[in-house]
Amino acid sequence: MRRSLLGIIVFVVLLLQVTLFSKIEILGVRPDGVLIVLVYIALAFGAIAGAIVGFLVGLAQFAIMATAVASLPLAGTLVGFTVGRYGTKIMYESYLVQLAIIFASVVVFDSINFLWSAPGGFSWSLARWTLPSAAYTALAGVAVVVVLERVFGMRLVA
Amino acid sequence: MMRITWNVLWQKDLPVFVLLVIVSVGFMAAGRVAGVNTLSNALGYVFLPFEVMSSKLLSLSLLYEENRELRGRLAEVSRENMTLKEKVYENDRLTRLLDFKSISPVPLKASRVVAEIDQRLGGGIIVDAGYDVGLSRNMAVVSPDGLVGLVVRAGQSVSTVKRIVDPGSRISVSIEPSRVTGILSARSDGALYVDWVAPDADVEPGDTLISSGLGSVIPKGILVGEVKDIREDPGKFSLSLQVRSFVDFKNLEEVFVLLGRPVFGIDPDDIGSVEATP
Repeated sequence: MRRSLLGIIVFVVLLLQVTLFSKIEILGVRPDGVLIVLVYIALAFGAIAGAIVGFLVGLAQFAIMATAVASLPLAGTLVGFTVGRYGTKIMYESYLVQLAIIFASVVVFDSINFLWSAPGGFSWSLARWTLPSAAYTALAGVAVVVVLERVFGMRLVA
Repeated sequence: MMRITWNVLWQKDLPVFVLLVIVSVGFMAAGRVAGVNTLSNALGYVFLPFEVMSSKLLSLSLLYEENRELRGRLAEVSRENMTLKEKVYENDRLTRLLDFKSISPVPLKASRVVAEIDQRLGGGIIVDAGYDVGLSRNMAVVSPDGLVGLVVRAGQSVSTVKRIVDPGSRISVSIEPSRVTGILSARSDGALYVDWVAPDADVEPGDTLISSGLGSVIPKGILVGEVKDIREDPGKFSLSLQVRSFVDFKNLEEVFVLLGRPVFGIDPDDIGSVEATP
C-alpha cells in the first residue's frame, strides 16, 4: 500500500514538475516541486523511503532531460536520506523549520550537482540559480502545505 | 545535540542507502547508458501527452487574457478595424513560416516546444518530435528568426534541444561583413559572447553573425544574431563581442529541425534564409 502510494506520488509530482511548475517562473527561477515532495516524503516515511524516492526522481529527471547532469540520482538519494534520518529528529511541525529544511535541501541538492558540473562556476551558479530557487521552492512548498491543511482542516505534517 | 555514532548509522536503512549511492555513482561514471535511453523513451511516451496538454492549456489561458485585452480595446476602436489588424498579423506570421519552410534547401521538421528544462538542471527545451520522424542527434534547430540550437538527444517521440543560450553551449560563427570567425559561447546567465577576437578585427555593433559551418555540425549561413557591444580586454590583446540573438527564447513555441545539411555554401547576402547556392 505504502509502496504504491509512494509510486503514485512520485509519478504525480514528476508530472506536475514538467507541466505546471516549469511554467511558473519568476526571473528565470522556478520552484522545484520534486524536491518539495521529496522532503515531505522523507519527513513522513523516513530515511529509506526518502533515499529510494530521491534516487528514483533523480534518475527520472536524468532520463527525461538529456542536458541534465548525471549526479541527479546521487543528489536525490543523499537529500532524501539525510532529511529522512535527521529531519525527523527535529521539530519539523513548525512551518519555519519546514521552510528551512526545504531551503537547505535545494542548496545541498544543487551543490552536489554543481560539484559535478557548473558551467558558470560553483559560486556563481549557486548565487544565480540555487539561492533564488531555494527561497522560491521553500515558500511554495510551505504555502502548498498550509493551503492543503486549510482545505482538509487538519495538520498534514505533524 | 544529537551524537552521530557508527551504531546509530549502521541500522537497517544504511545498507539500502549505500547501495543507492553506489548505483548513483555508477550512473555518474557510465553516463547515458542504453538502459537510461530506454527509460527516457518510456518516460517520454508517458509524459508527452501531459506536456502537450499543459502547453495547450497554458496557451488557452494566454489566449483568454489576450481576449480580455481585445475586449477592452473594442471600446476604443471599431470591431471591424480590430479584426482586420488581427488578420494582417496572422497572415504575416503564417507567410513568414511558409516562406521560411519553402526556401530551406534541406527538409525541415516543424515541432512544438512542449517543455523547458530548468537552467539549474542544464537548460534546454523538449520538442514533440523524435527519431520516428527522422530526427537525430546533432541536427540544427532553427526558427524563422535564426538559430535556436542543436538536438542533443532524439527519443522516439520527443527530443531534447540544447539552445545556444544554454550554459556550456558553443558554436562556430562568422561575423558579416568582415568574415571574422569566432566561437560563440553562452555565459551561465544566458548572455552570448564571442571571445578572443583579434583587436584589429573590423567589427562594429550591429554586424550580423551567421553560423560558420566549421565543426561539421551546424550548417553554414544560419542567422545567429548581431553584435550588441564590443569590449576590449584589459591587456588589449583581444576583443570580446556581446551578441544579441534575434530569437525570442522566452516565447519560443515552434521550431524547425533541419533534417539534413546543405551541401553547398551560403551566399552572405542570404543570411537568415539558409538558402544554398550552387
